[in-house]
Amino acid sequence: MRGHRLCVAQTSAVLLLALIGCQGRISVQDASSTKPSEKPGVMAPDAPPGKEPAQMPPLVPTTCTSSSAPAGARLLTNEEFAWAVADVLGVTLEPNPLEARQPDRANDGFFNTSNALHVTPQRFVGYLDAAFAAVELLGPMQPFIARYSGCAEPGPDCAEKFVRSLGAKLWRRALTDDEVAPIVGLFTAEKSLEEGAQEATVALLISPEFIYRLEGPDQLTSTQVATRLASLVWSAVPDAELIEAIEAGAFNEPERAEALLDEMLDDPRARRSFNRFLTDWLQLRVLDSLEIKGVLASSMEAETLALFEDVAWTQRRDLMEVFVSQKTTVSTKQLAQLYGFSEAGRLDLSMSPRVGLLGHASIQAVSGNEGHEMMIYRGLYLLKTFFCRTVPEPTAELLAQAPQIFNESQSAREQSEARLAAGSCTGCHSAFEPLAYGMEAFDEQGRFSEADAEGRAYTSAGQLRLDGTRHSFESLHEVASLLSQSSEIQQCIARKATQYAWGRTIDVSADQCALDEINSQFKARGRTWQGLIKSIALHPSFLAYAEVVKEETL
Amino acid sequence: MKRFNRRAFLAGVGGIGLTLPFLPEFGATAQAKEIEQLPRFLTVYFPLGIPVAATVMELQSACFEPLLPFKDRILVFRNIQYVGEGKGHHNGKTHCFVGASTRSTDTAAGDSVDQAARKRFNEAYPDYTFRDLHMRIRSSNATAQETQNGGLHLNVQSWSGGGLIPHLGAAQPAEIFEVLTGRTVSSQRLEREKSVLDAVKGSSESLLSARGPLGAESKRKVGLYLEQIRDFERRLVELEQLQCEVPGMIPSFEQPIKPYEETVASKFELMLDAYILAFQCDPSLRFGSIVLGENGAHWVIKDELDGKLITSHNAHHAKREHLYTRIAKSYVELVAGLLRRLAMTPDFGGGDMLSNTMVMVGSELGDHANNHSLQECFYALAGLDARFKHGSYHAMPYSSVDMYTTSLRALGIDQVHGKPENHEGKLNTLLNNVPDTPQ
Repeated sequence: MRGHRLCVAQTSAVLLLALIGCQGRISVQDASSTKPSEKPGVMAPDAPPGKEPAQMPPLVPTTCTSSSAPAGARLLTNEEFAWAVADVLGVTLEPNPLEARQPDRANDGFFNTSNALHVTPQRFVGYLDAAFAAVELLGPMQPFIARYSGCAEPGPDCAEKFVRSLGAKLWRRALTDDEVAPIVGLFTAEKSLEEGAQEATVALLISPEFIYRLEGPDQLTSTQVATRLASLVWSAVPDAELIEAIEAGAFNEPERAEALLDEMLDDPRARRSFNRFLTDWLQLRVLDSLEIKGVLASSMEAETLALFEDVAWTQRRDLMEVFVSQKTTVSTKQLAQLYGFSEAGRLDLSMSPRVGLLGHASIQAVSGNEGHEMMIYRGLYLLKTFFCRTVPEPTAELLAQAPQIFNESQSAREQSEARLAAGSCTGCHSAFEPLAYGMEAFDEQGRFSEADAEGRAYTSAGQLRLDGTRHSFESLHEVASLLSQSSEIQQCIARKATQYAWGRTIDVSADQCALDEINSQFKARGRTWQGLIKSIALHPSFLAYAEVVKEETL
Repeated sequence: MKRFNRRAFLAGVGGIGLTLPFLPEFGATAQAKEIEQLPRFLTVYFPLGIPVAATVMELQSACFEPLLPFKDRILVFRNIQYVGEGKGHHNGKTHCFVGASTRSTDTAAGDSVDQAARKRFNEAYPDYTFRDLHMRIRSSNATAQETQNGGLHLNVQSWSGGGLIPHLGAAQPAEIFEVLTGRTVSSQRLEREKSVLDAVKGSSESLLSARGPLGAESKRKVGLYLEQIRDFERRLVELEQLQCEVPGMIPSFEQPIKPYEETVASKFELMLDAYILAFQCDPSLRFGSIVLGENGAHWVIKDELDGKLITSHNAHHAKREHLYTRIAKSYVELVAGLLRRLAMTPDFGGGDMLSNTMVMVGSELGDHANNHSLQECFYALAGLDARFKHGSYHAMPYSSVDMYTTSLRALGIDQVHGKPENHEGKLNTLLNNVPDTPQ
């Protein structure tokens, strides 16, 4: 992050967020429960665990009485581990040894979900491998030691300076004497300077202080707030400047907090976090496991990320415009030809059956499924991804009726309509299958056809229920237009981003109030990505502490 | 009895130099000899269950044909009931071998039955540490659905620490070798890891103190992490001179360890060879799990009539019933492969390894997978011959808690596994004379 000019202590009334008792299974800091700070208006410098917490005001008023908060203790994902190593040590773990040992798993689509991340023996060995790989990539340690110890010539004091300085970067806080001593002992044991520095670095990297985002039961400290912000905006560990800014009160007042977030969003790492959100939200990683692999799959993903890059960052416009964009950027001739163009580049889709995000081969592929169940798979994907809704699994009694409904001589569309006409299926299937009708002409590999293999023409027409109203459509273009104007879709995007920010799955009963307030802010801020990040980060829930995140059933 | 040098053997088959774990239990003490005679306990999981229709003809059915050679060494259950709330993959998977479903994606409902047994064995033999070994394979034809099923609880079958510590199985043959032999890193690196881990433990202790800075959830997670460090340290010390005595045959490896482009079946065979070798070589290994595909995994088979790809989760096509049965049979074939491999391997105490190994096979869903039922689940108990009245097929409903509890009883452990209110004790009639203590 570039230099802050925000580090001026302010003296304004500060409400101290206080920990209140358990409410059900979640205990959080509640803005309404206050106690006077010892030095009102002055952000206390950060302290080691167990010491003085930072003093934080609620940045945006809330009327919520429910207790929403991000996940408490959370493991870094494999990707986050590698990024943190790159940010602090300046080396790239490619390939990532952690991923080779134990790939991360998504929960409800998101890989940063706290309760899907565990340390298994395989993952632990992965940490060791990754840490040793990182120090080997550093090469000669002398410059690295000098960089962190400030010592021109290694001496007895250098080891401690090195451990304290590098440790503060990696652990996002100052180390206590008790913590420093064993690691300095490693450095200074009977071995070479190179080996000592390497082992001390490895120890810092495999410490739970680095690989977990740990938070205590009391109020968040400044570095914990910085850690949450850096994780949300950058997918990174906070740098010294950010921590200093928070300590100096840069997140104490709405105006200054907005300015801080603006600076953070201008940092290139903000795009990294955004792309990671998109990849999880849209399930783009599934592309790697489909028949279409390699260059074509990569270029499909690149096209979708490029669309969001253009809307969110280049133009900083309403995210809902991704649904109706008639321009796209494809990076390979292969994908261009799939779209009916001869060359890669910036393509004008205005004369094409494709439009916006739903016209992307990536979305058609990850949502698709060969055969008569296409409408089911695609409809469920659209329902979950853009409407944030699910339907219950069918009962055994309903499934027993399925063979009577199924008729292989019918087209996929006819079979879908037969399911919708069968009274027992209608209730659930009408909620999602019609969503897929507009994409009917695109197969599971993103190819467009006028008709199916039997010569039956696709209509791409249908009806869908949106924002409580039934709408008719005749084409994908009309579906895209409807989605782009829907408050229901807008609300879902806000919810997905909040889920990503909180690092946990959403509990609708407990979180709805906070989600509604964040969504309201998102709309008021023009529905930009930057506005969404601010809506989440400035809502009181972002600074709350959850002792136990409510668990969900799949 | 052949003297088997693990380092030389593995260097030969894998082209890799490996170091060996520190296993003080290998000392030729009287107790070590006793340990060699103790039964083993393996759980085997495969996804989506078996349709009742495929099993109603008992062991003569097409689905169970691969098990026919073992019909006198196996008990088959067609109607095990998962009792508890919920349904579907989540509840079934977390219930399977545990005895109670969980609503959590973070913690399991409790120890799995293999880990409950291991705990009691460690208590009964306090000077000895019993180890466990876990392996898993995935379908090479897995659909995207399989890769999207998140949450470790959905893909781990063995839990300890009250359900908090997942034992994720080795997914590649090389990983099994690592458990058996240590890792493919230099002795110097291992020494460095040892000192680093000591320092990490030293610098992390304050996090767990009563006056520490963390909340309960953070403390729990750090505690589990430090447990992993301690467990890892136990395996760090090099013991190059270790040679284990392998009774009888040493498996031959005709396929290269890498790359892993083989079919599921051939890969399973290779992993099984390594797995059995580990049990042959290390008497402290008495427990383990084998996961044959992940929760809800949609194994795919092509319908030769129309070329369509069918998954075992498309139950509503009556005319394709034979294909679903074929998919289920493919799992049964893998189970039969395990039993065959155990039956052909001589054991320390004489006899074959199957005769001294209890193999419990289960799945997360009952009857046909597509109805997500937790009733009418298929289970099988094989091996540990002297303690069971083998050779029968049971269609009557029994609680899964009965299944787990009876299996513990066969090991000399008197303990209800699962919710006590779901224990009826009906299956104990299938036991022969069993000891009163873990042995």
